[in-house]
Amino acid sequence: MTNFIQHLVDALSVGSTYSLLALGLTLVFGVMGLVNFAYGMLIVWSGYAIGLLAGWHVNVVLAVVAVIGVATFLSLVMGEVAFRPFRKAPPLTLLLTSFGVSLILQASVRIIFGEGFRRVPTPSVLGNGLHAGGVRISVLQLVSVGTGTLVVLGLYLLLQRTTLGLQMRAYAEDADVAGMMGVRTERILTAAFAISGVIAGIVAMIWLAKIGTVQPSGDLNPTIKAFIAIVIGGLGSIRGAVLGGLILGVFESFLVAYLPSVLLPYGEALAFLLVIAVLVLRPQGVAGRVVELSR
Amino acid sequence: MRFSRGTVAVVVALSVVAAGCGSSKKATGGDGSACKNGKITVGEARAETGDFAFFDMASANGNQVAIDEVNAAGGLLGCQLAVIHGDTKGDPALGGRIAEDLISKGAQLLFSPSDFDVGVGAAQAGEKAKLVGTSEASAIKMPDAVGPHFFAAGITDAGVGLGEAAFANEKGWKAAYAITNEQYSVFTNIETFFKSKFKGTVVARDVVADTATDYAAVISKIRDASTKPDVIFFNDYFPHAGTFIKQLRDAGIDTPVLGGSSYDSPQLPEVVGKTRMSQVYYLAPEIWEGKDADPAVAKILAAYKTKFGADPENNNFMEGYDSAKLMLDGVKAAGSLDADKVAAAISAEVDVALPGATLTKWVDRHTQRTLVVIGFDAAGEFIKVSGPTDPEKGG
Amino acid sequence: MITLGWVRDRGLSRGGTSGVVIATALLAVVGALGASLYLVLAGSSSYDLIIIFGVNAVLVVGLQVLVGNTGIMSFGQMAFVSVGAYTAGILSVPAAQKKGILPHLPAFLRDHTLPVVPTLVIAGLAAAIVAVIIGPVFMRLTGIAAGITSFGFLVIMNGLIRNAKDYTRGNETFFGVPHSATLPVVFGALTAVVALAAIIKWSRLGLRARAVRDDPLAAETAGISMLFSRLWPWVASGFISGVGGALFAYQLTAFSPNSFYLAQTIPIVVMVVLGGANSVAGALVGTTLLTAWQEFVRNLENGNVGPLHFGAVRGIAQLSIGIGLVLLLLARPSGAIGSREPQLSLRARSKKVH
Repeated sequence: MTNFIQHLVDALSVGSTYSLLALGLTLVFGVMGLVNFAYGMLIVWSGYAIGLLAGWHVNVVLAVVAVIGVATFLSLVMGEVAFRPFRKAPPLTLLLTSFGVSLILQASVRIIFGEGFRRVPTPSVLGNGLHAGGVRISVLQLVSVGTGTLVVLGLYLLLQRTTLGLQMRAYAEDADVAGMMGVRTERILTAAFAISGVIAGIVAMIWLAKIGTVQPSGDLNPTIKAFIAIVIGGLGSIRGAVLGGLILGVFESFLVAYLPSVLLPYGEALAFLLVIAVLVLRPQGVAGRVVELSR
Repeated sequence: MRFSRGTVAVVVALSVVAAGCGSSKKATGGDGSACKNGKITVGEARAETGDFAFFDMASANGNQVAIDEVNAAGGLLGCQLAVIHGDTKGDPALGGRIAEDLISKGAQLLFSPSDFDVGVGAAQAGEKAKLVGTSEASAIKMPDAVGPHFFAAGITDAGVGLGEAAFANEKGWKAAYAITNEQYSVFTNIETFFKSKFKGTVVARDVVADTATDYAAVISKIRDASTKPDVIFFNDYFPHAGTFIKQLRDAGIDTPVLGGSSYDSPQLPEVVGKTRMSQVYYLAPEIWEGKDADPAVAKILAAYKTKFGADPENNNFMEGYDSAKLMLDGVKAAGSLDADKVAAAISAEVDVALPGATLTKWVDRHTQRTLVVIGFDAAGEFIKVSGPTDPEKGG
Repeated sequence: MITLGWVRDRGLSRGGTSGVVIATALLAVVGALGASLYLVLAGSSSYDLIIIFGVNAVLVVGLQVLVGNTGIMSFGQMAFVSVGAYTAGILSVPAAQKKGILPHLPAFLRDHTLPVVPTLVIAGLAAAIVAVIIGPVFMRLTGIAAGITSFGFLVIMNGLIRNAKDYTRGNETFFGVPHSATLPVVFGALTAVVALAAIIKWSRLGLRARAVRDDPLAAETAGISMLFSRLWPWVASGFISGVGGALFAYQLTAFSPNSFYLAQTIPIVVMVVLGGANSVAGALVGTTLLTAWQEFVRNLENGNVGPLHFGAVRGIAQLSIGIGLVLLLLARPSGAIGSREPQLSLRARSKKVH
């Protein structure tokens, strides 16, 4: 039983990180139908920012703010310069544009910081652990779950209780009608990319604190996890992103934990088999409605 | 820290200039046909960009240090060596083209990317043009796949696996928990060689994905293992090794961790946390970091720093140095660039003293050589734990 | 009188078939001739470039058959390619070598070696069979869900190949495949698959599939089965990609499961969309554009432009491809030639579309 609880704790911590990753991606999808392949580059850039800030011995609180600032800034630039002109483009074109944007961001990392792995320094307190009845939880795991909860809560309040949230939901439902009703549609896109950037900055710190290093190609892995999570959960839905991330985290962790050793080499394949099974049974995702920003 | 791109350009320019200066010299050692336009051209088909560049650029730069030494000592067969570069981007298909490009630009000897999968395209192109080639690829099966003029001149999967087993036996470890990244055959091969000579038992085995970033589930399994392991045999590369050991120590498990040469990076102790390294060991070709660095290796390191303005990323630079030295020694012994003669001369090399290491002999055109075990002191500084010894010598 | 014009893929009667087949096949032949000419002018590395172009073009056409006819983007094509490559490998490694490379192969496979053409066909069929098996699952989905599922298919296939050690050497490099990717083989195959893609496109099956693509509801109301109509382009896509995989094997001669993964998938996807995902000719245009571009910036990065040599910065190639991609899509959101196809007409002037 203790074993099971331990594995569950591990799984939830992984899942909460995936949920956070998925949230940033799903918001932008909700307002413009873009699956942003360049999203992971925000995390990579945040990683290099952390490295620089630590090198300059910046105070931790300031550094956290600065990293979120960098990710938000990049996300905004990406949205305004690269994606806004494609507002009405078909989804495939949008996806390909985001390939292009990720190439640009990755090449700039290569040119500025070079190839290879860079250490991402993290406060050592994150490595400490708490014990409760044979179950061990690290501070980082707590931070990861806690941050996930806070971000979801904040996002929920923003979308449900503010005018901006109302407008975003209206825009996601029907952009044209929202425009006619007086929603300043050009602001919605900006807001979505800004929030997506803030979330990317936050999740970058958790993600990289776990890994400890960053490299130019470090975007692919988080991007793919976020993709899978939003597809499992249901595209464009906040609840879907949260659920999808948690489900993916539990899938992966439990496969590692409970797979008999002969099947271990098939671990990744089996994880995808489960994902496909979910999609075939519920093509619209677990949180299952049509493209919608909330609900 | 890394070398800047500018330095590479300068180096290339300098080597071209150096090559030009030697143009009036005549071949003295051989049949006179070795020099073309007064120089011998060496092709470097390497992954200069992409993930594999982390390993390959260190190898290529190591080659360069060896080549510079030869040039400073008067060249080879009376000619100066000139290096030309091409970027394979880690793509085997592009590798073949890059190698052909270099050959059409006059390359007479060829270095290919230091991995079987990544390097095979370039190596085959060299073989097709009947050039002698080496790579630091560790697969003992690679020379067979490429052809009779190709040599795997770095350390091998067999050497690393057997060396790890010997060290585990010496430590008296009875129970090993084996974890392997099966994405790359080198790690599965190392595991096979390790198991073949490990006197204890492998109590449990896990597989980790190449994309893994959170090892919590595996770590919880280690904690719950019915037989407590004496050693965790984590068969993966840096930075995964750093991430795994960091998370392992975070989880409060201080079981020793054993790995192979691809753990090597000056950043490893920093990623894990310097005070938590004392039970981490890995096999390596030579030791170059810390106070135990071999004096001969330190000399090469100094030349490397002077040339490239920064420390190497990992110990592949020493494998690169060794591989160039073994190849160029072979050319010297053959007295010509004739591929058959050079291949025969390289194959005949025995007990060659390398900086901080010895090549015992060649077996089917791959090395059998000494390795060292690297560990860490309480402050997280690199120390030599044992070696250099040849794990394949005398069973 | 023979005229050359453009047709779009909508609302066209099947009468255009022969003209389109001729035109698209001609395109492949012209490409081959141009390639041969280039070969006469340039060195062996350029020869390889032309071969790689040809192999890529086959893979891109393979994906286009799916995307163009069904509107579904697949990130799993490399799974078919790997099936084709390993099949070709098993069939064409010389029998003498096979005992060393694949000692546990069943005797009938171990003792026989097939020539190029049957190998290509069998490799294609093997991939097509895989497509038939998983098609009913995959063809239910659209959009991003289909994208993720197809990527999942790639991961699963990769896992199977890694573990079918007796047939594939597992995660170790498979080597010893003869270098049979010659100009006639590659461009012969390219011409054949382009013709096949054009035939499918203008056939009743293709029209049905595109009807579903453009308006699934209306098509189903008209009695067209969504699943069935998508299945054929999917299987054809599998076949062509399998043939491409065999060519890939002949060109690389040594490969491992890592040779068929996401890194190889992305360029194929980019080529399809760049040229115009709804056009077979667009697949060729996209392949040409990206190949030429990559080649140019690669030389630039290595510091060579014609007679000029200079030290360049690593990473500018990637940067330029990224910027170029975004700009090109901005100028032409549905690809370079959109959904147009070249059309040869023997009688009257063909309908011109700007």
